[in-house]
Amino acid sequence: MSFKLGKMILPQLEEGRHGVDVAGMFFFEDNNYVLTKGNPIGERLAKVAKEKGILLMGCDQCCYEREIADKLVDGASIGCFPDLYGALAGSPPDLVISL
Amino acid sequence: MHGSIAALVSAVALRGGYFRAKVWGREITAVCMKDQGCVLPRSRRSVHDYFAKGCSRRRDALPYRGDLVEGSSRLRARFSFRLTDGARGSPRDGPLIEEASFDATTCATLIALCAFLAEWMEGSVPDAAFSVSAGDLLTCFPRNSSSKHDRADLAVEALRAAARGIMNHQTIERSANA
Repeated sequence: MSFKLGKMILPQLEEGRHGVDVAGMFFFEDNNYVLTKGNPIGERLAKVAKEKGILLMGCDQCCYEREIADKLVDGASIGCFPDLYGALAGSPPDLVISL
Repeated sequence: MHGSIAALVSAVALRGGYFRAKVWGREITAVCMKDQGCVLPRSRRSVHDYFAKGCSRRRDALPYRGDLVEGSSRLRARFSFRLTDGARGSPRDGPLIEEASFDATTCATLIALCAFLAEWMEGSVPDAAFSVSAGDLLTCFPRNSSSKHDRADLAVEALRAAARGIMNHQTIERSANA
């Protein structure tokens, strides 16, 4: 996660050369720790998400289990699949990439 | 007078801000006005704990079953109760909830909140359901996400529907015949 997101995707988004408009990112299991406040990648992600209108959502069950549901970076929310689909219904993505 | 005081003291054990007492020889159940702010205890367990408990719950409905309540995002919940034996008198003098169960759409937050409410209702009078608000429920879990208010609304509404079912003597058999 730190390599793929922190060293490839995130820098590309920050530099505006990722190549596509990212609609949202959904995090599972321990990847949710990236979204916690104070995490360097999470804070950068929150900043770029706010600028570009990217949805950041963590799996609610995963966050509850790790007791981080109330510790996520600004703008990040928690939810399950119906919440994700609902949040993206306005601008559904053309591509889904699973990492 | 001394008898009334003794009855009041013994009645504090009733949860939900309610107490049962004998006043002039007549048993009553009433709301403790001191606890009107929030009748729910702050949970010492996490949302995840209650989600896990809710997932392992018994799923067959108990005799007194409330209406199925639907909320946003097609989420649904329904509570059912088993009551203690005891003669029903006025609405406030009825039996207690001996066992509470629920059925809910698979959503971690909703299941956790329903499991918490079901646990809280056991040992309470059915009317206790009307003393709970969604805001109260969310404050019981300070580490929960406040974005889940709609789940709390649904859980509380389903709980109240089941309590209304008791008042209407709405058992499973009667629901099936309706």
